[in-house]
Amino acid sequence: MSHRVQLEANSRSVFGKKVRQLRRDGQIPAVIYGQTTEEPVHIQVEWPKLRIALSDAGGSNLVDVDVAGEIYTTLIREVARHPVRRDVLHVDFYAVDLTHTIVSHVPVFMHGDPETAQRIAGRILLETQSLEVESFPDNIPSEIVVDVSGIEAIGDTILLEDLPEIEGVKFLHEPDMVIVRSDYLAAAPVEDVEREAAEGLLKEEGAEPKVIGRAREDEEDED
Amino acid sequence: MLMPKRVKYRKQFRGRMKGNAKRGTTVTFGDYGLQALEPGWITSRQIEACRRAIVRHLRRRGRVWIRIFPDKPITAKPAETRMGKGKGSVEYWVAVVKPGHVMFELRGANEEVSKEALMRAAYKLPIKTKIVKRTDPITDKEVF
Repeated sequence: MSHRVQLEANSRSVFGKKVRQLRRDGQIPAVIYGQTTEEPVHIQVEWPKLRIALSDAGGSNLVDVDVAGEIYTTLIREVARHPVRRDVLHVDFYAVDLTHTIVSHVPVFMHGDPETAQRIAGRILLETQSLEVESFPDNIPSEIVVDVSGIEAIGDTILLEDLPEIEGVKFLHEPDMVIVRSDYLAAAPVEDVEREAAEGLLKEEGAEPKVIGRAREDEEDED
Repeated sequence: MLMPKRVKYRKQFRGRMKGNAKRGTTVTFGDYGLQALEPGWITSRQIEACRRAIVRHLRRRGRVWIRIFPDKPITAKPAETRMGKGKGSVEYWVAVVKPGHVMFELRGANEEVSKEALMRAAYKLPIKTKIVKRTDPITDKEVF
């Protein structure tokens, strides 16, 4: 189910805004914390090695981080990226204890949705993008694929309890949670104006919001 | 058009738009999004024009999320008025957008239709934008 990825790292003595220089030199700052470390371990990783590890491990495979001979068994918990360029700025590694279960989010995908949508002349909607699961760290599924070929008509749904059980993985949701549903191609025609008015979004031209702050005396005079 | 239901104070300073967006930088609800590449003020009229452009192109086949809200009042003085006599009256409302912010998201249509819908919305905006897809937060690969 899962495989291990090896990653070499060096301990880091540069913090704060000075890590910009590290990034210019091709090193990405990172940190290890979690179940098996008492204090956070600050590290730096060479970008080419980190790029391969990120791509290979994703969020569900274990990464053995080697910091000057000491091995930390971790999961990649968070990757901070530049909002526009998408460059990696910082990585969080979560040190896991292999004897304890952890809670993680696993992405959900559909299989066979274009064919099914064409067959029923409707659309297939995935209601959730990820599921919360509890499992041992070395047993986290990388993805959950839902086969939607069993949907026969518009209105049919696939619930969490319909999914095949995965050994060693416990779903932390209600069994009747809807994962996939089928719907008509076009939504029922509701006039936008009516819908917005119902939601209280439509404001007439020149309408003013209610002021709840303390009004200044001169503003009151204006009124 | 969008505007707050109630505000603490009637008028605001203009403020500055330094740096990049700190949150709202990933496609979270839909499959495709329109991301700002420049800072700017997006008026409530522009947001409404974008929404209409997207909805009309999708023909109600998909779902649209608007992830910006115009909560900043902009004042103006009437034409041919002498300076002084206090700040002008509130004329319209804007959302302050910084580079990286995903302003609109949509889901339920195929790639071609989604991109065309977002392109039509982009023409209504005063800033440079790009179309982005939903990606895995760890690997940054497209996830569908």
